[in-house]
Amino acid sequence: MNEHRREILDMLATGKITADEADRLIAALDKGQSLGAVAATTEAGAKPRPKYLRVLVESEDMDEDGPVKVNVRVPMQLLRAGVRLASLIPAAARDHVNEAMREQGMAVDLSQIKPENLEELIDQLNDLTVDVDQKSNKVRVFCE
Amino acid sequence: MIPLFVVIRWHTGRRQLGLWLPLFLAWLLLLPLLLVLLPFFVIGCLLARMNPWRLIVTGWQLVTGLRGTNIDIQQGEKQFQVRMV
Repeated sequence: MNEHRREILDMLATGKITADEADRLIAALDKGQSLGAVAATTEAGAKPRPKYLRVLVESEDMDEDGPVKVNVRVPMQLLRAGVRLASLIPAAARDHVNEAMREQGMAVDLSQIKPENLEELIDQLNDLTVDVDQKSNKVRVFCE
Repeated sequence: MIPLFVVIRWHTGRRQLGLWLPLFLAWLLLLPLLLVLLPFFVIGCLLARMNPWRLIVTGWQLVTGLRGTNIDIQQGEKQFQVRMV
């Protein structure tokens, strides 16, 4: 028995409300709870977790062989495993890797990439779409 | 689940090549080798101060994550496809 229902029954017991009023309050409480459950289910159902990362590249820089089209589909599970692998790198080696990446112009700290943040990142990737549309090159990155 | 096949298709305009590589045979052949190397792997991990069990689990997740990977590259009449099934 939840707290609100208990309060309603206490008010009925002390005579603050009639039985009819208590019945209407409990019905409204049940309706509110079921609407909340439906909303949660709808929200969960409307946003399935992405399973694949897709990268589409079309380059129309014409050479003797014609335009280039690249279509890559990578499972999210592979990305998750890759992040977990990065978190297993020993601290000493991680510093070397960070230094090497910094020299190449990528200021990324591998120690900040943690598996517990990964699931939240992947949930947000569901809405991610990157569209780059230039004169002769098109790049599209999205999750499905 | 680990990928069982790799399907490779290669069109060069004039020639067409299709390969079905049975990865499950490769896993079966690799398994005894991995078991033999396991003690050395564990010793190496302990020396490097890494958790061998976590590495094995992550490696397994990497291998199983490969299933469903598709790569298609097309240029004119040439086409190269790799699918992990």
